[in-house]
Amino acid sequence: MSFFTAVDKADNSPCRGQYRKNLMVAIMITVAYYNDCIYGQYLAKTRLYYRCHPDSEVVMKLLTTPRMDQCTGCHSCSLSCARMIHKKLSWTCAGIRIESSGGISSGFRAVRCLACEPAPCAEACPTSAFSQRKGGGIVVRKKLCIRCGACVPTCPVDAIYENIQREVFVCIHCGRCVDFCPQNCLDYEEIDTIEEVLL
Amino acid sequence: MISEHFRILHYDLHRRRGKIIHQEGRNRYVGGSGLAALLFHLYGTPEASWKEAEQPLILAIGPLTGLFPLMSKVVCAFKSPYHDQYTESHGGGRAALAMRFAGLDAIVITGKAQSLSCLSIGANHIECKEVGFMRGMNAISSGRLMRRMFGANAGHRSILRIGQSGEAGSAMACINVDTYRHFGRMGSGAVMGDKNLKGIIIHGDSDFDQPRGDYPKLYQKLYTEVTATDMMHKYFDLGTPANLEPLNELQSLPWRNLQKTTDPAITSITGKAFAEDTLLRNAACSGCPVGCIHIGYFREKSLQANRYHFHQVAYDYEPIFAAGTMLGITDSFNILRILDSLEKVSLDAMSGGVALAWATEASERGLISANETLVPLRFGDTDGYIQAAAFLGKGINDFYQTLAQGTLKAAARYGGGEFACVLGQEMAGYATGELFFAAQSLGFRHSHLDTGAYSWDQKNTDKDVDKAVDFLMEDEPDRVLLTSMVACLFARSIYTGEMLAECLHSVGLPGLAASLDEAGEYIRKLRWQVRFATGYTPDEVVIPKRFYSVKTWKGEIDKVFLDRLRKEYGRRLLRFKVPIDDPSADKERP
Repeated sequence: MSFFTAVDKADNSPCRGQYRKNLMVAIMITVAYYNDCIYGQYLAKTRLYYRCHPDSEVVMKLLTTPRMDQCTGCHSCSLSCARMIHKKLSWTCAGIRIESSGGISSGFRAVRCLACEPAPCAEACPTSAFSQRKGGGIVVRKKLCIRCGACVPTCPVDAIYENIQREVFVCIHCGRCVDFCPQNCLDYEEIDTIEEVLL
Repeated sequence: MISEHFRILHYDLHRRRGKIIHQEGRNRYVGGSGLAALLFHLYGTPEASWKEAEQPLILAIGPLTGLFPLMSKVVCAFKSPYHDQYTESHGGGRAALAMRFAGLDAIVITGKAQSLSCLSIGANHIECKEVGFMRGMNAISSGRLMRRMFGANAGHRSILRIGQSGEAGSAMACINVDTYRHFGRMGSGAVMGDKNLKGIIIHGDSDFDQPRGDYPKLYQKLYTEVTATDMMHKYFDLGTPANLEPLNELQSLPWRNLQKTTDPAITSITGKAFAEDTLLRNAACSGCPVGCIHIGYFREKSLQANRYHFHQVAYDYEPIFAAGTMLGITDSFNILRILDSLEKVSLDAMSGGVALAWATEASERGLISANETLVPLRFGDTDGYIQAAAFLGKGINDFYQTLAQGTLKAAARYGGGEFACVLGQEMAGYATGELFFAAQSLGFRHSHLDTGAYSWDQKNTDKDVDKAVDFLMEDEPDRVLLTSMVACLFARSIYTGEMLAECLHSVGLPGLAASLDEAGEYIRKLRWQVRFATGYTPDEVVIPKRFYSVKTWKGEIDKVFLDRLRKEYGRRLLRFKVPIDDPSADKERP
């Protein structure tokens, strides 16, 4: 008898399947914390990472930037990512970075991970600090990073930022920046509902 | 990252060398206005002319810059070409966060470059490039070229530059900050020009560890407060131009060189009309979710049929007053055309518009002619003002050079001082009443933001001199504290003393949090002391006759009340005319 079968047997309530899923997530969080995995650290807080469908499939979500035409260049998203995810004060040590495209006159663009699958940065990482995330993008385990910078040039959209200490920063698709956009430029969407990639 | 000492870059343009200085005194000088006053005391020579090469141009941010929303402005301090006294001008854009992420609380620039130069500053580099090819280049083209020349960090840097008026030494020359913001008033652009400094580019290319403890929660609370209140609605939607219509109704909006204070023609240039007709989009200062910068557009026809190009110009209440109502322009696109002309030569829009309004009335009265103005100036004539703005910025002849030093200087030569709309400098757009006229004419920056006088005028009808001046004196320390932080003054209802103390606690500055009241008073005094040391004499400030003939919602201006206010406010300010006795400020120059 497997561990989960034992759990299910011990729980006779009608929602015992849900209990099993929650337990799985809890174990993942514990493992992720143990591995100093940024992806895992925010799993519990975001609660949007996984949504269990009736068929028990895990649906991944991605950060999207569908309304950048409305961006005013306040940088609140970048500053929130740096602050909440990376514990930094920075314009650049963030998974999403706002650049002007030809001065403020021409508007702004979001530089972010577009969730490659397979992700070339994960393939280039010699220590598995970056590993493939299901549904696109990567899972980051900072403790494993040796700051070699090998991932940086592999990104086709320059989404990985390397600071002067050679620490690298990339979007982990946690969606926490979305609430900090005062102009509603950002979304956090299930992969199968994304109609068009906009920047 | 926020420490008890200030981290300052002193750059000597003549020697092309920089030096990082650690200056003590966070709890006393705070940052921004307080730090700038200290730095002028340390680096400036009060009795020497603003043109002396060693006079400093100072940029300073506050302890909360980049850490909390709307803590997004920079104080620029210098000895003003306008009155040769110490002054400040405040600007936004990306400059504040660029300085924070460059790891600098202040930048002090002294000396004069041997040839026209641009200074590039980052956390790990300083470079001074010769840019002789940029001489005579307007502010917009200069920005474009600097973006290309200093290619890195798009969106994470700030580009400060001057146009022709700064190079020509105009006392109305501003420093353009990131195209749509400015260190507008009192001639900071001429200080850069005199130093042969065409541009400054500040790269915010470093990062800092976030303060631990309560900081993240407090940030979240403040961010929610800012975005959930009506501040977003008020300043984002129509923005400050929403005030045009009510002030016109209150008979407090200057029209045609303040010959009137209300006009039914306001309907075509209200905040709503600007938004509906010209608004292209909003932009924000970095670190501010409000996004109050309104960028309008106008279309120009080329010589060939059906060929058009368009221009983008920022607008606000004040520029609309200066290039609109003051000049009798009642078409929103035409106002933007005049603002664009002022912008290119990097003239302060308020000063330039008010000066041209005086020139128009002086032309009507026959004091000057087309020999001086080169183009006929008539209220309502957009094309004339577009050309005149360029002439004024470039100082194309003797008349425009004189006018560019200040309207009263031109009036002293050509006559017409009685209708020069000058209150310490060219007036701000508030003909609200006696207290505002007294406060702007004597105020520290001669800015409507020095005090809440224009607001007081709109709410009070009594003529109690002591009560009114008490209000000015009591209002000032809190404002000084905010400009030392350096917060956007739109956020003054959020950043109360208690909230500032909480913020400072959360970033590890409990000492400053505990001494805010003392700091506000101290900095107010220090700023005035520095200003007095550079020659300020309240008794010499004159209020031209035009202001005594203004009619507002309260009726005609009460001359006796205005004179008593001016005298009493000046008397109260004189108590700050004492030597600076601060032990840390008496140190040898670092």
